[in-house]
Amino acid sequence: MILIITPENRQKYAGYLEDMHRMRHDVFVDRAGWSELESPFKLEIDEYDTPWTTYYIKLSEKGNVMAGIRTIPTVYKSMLANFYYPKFPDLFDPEALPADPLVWEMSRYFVVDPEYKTQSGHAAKMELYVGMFEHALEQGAKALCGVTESYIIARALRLGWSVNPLSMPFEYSAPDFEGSMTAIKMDVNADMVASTRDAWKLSHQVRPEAINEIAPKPAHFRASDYVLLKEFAEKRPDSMNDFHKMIKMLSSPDSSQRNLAEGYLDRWIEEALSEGLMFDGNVSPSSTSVN
Amino acid sequence: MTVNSPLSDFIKFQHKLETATTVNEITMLFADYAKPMGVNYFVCAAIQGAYCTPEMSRMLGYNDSEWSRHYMANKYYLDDLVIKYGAIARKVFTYEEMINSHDMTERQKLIMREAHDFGLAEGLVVPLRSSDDHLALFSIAGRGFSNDPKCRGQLHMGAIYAHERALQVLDGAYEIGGVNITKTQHDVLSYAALGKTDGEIATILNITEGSVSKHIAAVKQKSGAHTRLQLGAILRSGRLIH
Repeated sequence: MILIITPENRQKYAGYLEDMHRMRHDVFVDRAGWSELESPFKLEIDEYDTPWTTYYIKLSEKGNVMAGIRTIPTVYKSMLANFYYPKFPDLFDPEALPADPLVWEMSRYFVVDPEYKTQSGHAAKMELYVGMFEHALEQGAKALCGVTESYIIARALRLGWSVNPLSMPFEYSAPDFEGSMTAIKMDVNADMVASTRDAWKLSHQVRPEAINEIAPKPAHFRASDYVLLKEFAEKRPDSMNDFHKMIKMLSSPDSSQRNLAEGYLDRWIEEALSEGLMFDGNVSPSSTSVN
Repeated sequence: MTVNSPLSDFIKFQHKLETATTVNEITMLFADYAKPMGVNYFVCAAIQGAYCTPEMSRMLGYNDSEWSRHYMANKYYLDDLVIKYGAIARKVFTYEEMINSHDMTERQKLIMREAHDFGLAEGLVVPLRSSDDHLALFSIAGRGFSNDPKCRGQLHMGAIYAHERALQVLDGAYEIGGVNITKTQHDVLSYAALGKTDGEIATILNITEGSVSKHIAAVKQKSGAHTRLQLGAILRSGRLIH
């Protein structure tokens, strides 16, 4: 089943969101070695994890996070316009970069199964994508965009997806792997959802809302708090042990311990704000225009 | 040779591709697109899957060039490192990158040397795995482009979209008993009609036995046949079986 966490139900499912950020840290930092994303809290969170971000999380029957992806309307700050374009300006046409409430950017796709081609990994990916397409369609989105491995484009075209590049490919290499990425935009419509379901032999409902509710999993978790706390903690390496202690206490079965930790974290957040630290994801739509 | 607006040039090419209705047209369009970058030869060939048959594997490109004839006459495809490496490569690679990362046999060295003599001084290879059943290699050769990132990008994208358009054209060319089928489905049925088992067809086409069953099931669904017997009747009416 795919849990869709929107700005509206975020509080209700904050616990799953926290699990997802922890899993992202495990996948991207611990396994893939993206050290620039490392966080002392072992939660991978960036400035695109905003209050307007929607998350699609594939849960196992036991409620464990198996895969995930996020979307954000490109009228807000997008990775394409603010990260990739500045990094590879010669490969993009800046006028083609979307800044539209109905064009959503996809990013941070992950599957926990390290060999995603195994039966469980492959099924998780297919459900995740179909769940995202159907939700986007329902919400009136007309296209999705993002950066993908270039070899995926041939597969996507064969599935009948209308994929158009927003950049020329940019090649990358790391000690253990190399590849090529391309920014793309793809139309979302009922035909592509149907043809994808057909090609992937996916006839069952992937979103539980239509069948039964996923039990709430509330938690004292706000992504923006951890972005601030990470910055705050980095300025105080001596206090790192205290931070870790408080993070651990947040999941203590003892409510007094949890309350104590929440109090500390709230105080640190207040201190961070008073020092002028800002959560960069809180940008207004009007300030995000690419041109 | 440099290219000023990689994305806009590609988009123009992409729009032209949409109007192409034959593989020859696609070949001509790609030639026009790639020539200003220094490309004088290209071929896109299936190396795995239903298009990987003697008559169909070379999907588009300069199949009748002097080098192509020499290559085929000497059966270089049996040893060519481009094919062996391309089958496992995860990304685009140049001849130079391939040569530098492999110990080549004497015959492989001969192939590369002769290619050079035929004017294929440098090359770029784009592996195209468009499904679990299909892998094609788009090999592009000439002079002066493979180390230019903009040309590499343009050719890489051009190869992806030209290959997909070729598949669409080839797929659209098959119909049996009034039912449109894909080239893969056509090949599976052709061998089935000759009495081959699913296992034999899988071996011939280099796909899994499960895929063979799926292709047959898909045609049954399209044609309204419930059994292979009924499918056989439709195939006979469509003159696949005489």
